[in-house]
Amino acid sequence: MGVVRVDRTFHMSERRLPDGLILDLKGDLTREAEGPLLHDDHWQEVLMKPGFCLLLNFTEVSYINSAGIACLIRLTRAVASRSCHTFAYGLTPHYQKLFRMVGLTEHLMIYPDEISVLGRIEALSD
Amino acid sequence: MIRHTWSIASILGQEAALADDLLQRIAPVIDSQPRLEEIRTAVTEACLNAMEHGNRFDARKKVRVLLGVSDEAIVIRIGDEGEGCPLGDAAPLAADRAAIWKLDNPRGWGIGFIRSFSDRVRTGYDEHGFYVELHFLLPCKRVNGGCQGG
Repeated sequence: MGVVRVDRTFHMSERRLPDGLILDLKGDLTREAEGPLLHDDHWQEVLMKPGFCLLLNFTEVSYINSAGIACLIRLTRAVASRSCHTFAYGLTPHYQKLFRMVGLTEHLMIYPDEISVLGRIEALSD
Repeated sequence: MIRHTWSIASILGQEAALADDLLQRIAPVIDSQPRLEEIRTAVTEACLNAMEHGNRFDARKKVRVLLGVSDEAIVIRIGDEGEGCPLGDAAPLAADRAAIWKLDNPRGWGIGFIRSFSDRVRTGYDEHGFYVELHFLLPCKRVNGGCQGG
């Protein structure tokens, strides 16, 4: 017996902030996310200024596999190399646990929601 | 007794749909959402390994998944059409972490997740070929009939 595949293709949209960028992620975060996340340098240009913040919104991501985690590691490494900060919010407790297991939380700060992250960024800039 | 069999093509995304169906079937015996999520990750990563390393992403080759649930455990066998690759005594995830982070493409987390979230992992060969079998122990719910634990 096979399975019916629901369309959970990865999509990404962005919102600009005065000192950063929010990436709204949607769908499954797997190897297919590599192109939008890592090879679309449009958003990366925004993060050329040291101290800028990248916010990853996982609210509409329900599945992340090991290949998706590898993409996130490459992303956070690239952001950290520019002396920028990465934040994540909207993650389920399970994926928060996976992020801790692989060491992502050493490079990416997890918050429950967007308001909490924005509050933190405001505090950092004060 | 819950039993079910799936056969999926070696196409990325099939493993996620299979896991959705599998979790619906085992949800009645696992009342912990965190545990269900751990099982989802272990099963999908095992399926991905079967697709990639066993079937080399040849869409004509199948990944077979057998589910069996007894009073004591959920057993999920994931088989492919490859030569087989015993998992060996993989190091704990934390021990691999630094090495993987140094890679240009920091992959290789799947086996660590499988080992971390399964109570037992065994590999072998059946009439179809190589398989990885994941065992997830159930909290004992019966107070009479031989199982007294909690």
